[in-house]
Amino acid sequence: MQAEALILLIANGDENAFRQLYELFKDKVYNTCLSYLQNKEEAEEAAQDVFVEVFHSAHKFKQRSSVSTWVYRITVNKCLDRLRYRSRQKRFAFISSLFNKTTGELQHDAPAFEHPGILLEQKEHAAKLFAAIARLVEQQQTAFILRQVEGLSQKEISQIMDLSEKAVESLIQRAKANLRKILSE
Amino acid sequence: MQQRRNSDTERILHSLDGMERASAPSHLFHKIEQRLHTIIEKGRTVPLRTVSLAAASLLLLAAINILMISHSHKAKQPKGDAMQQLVNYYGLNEDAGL
Repeated sequence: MQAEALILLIANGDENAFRQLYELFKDKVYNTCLSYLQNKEEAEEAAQDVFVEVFHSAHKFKQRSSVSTWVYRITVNKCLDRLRYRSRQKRFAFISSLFNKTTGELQHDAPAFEHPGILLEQKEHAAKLFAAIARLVEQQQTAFILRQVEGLSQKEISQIMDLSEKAVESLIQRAKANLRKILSE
Repeated sequence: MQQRRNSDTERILHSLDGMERASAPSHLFHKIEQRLHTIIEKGRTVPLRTVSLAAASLLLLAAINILMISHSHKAKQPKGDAMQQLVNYYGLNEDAGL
């Protein structure tokens, strides 16, 4: 069944329709969350947030965009919310968590992220790239992830981000320039 | 040296080429269902704190209303007495002999 028809059924509380929609989008949602959050457990939590939101907001879907655009938009927003929360936690806790209480040593950053879908020979390089992606500003990060990781077209990305295609193209170019700068540090 | 660095950077930048999408874990839907059912259950039961607050608010409202009514009733009486005193003082009774 088409996604638009499923949404109408989900709006009436149809759990089978919700399962079908989940099957259509589960990998897209999870993969996007993983690319933003770079942590499997957090990505799972964020993916749950997305589908719970889809279930509760199905009645609000006005079909002004495609279901795919709508689901990706929810996914991006949920991931950015989690990243902002993480940032706030880091800011408040940085003094107390700076030193390990038992040894007095400086605590290290989280280990490098290994995306499960990367080719074996590219894993080391990809880990460096993901670390650099995490340092981009939100809009550049979003445009780059949706283009390079999800393989979406500029038109699709422009609909998700509610920007013109030119603006998306510019964001991707700036993201690449900034990534080059970060990687050559 | 700079050229080599640039080509390393480009290689890293293209390290996502050919990557496959990660698959959602098999237990994910079950967790989503659990969350949805938890939300529905929470919606059905009204917390005790909410019920207590509502009851306290109603009692307070009732008490204020009773006080206001009682105050307004008392406020009318002295006015009536004062008027009667004036009437008596100036002899304005109906049967004052006019």
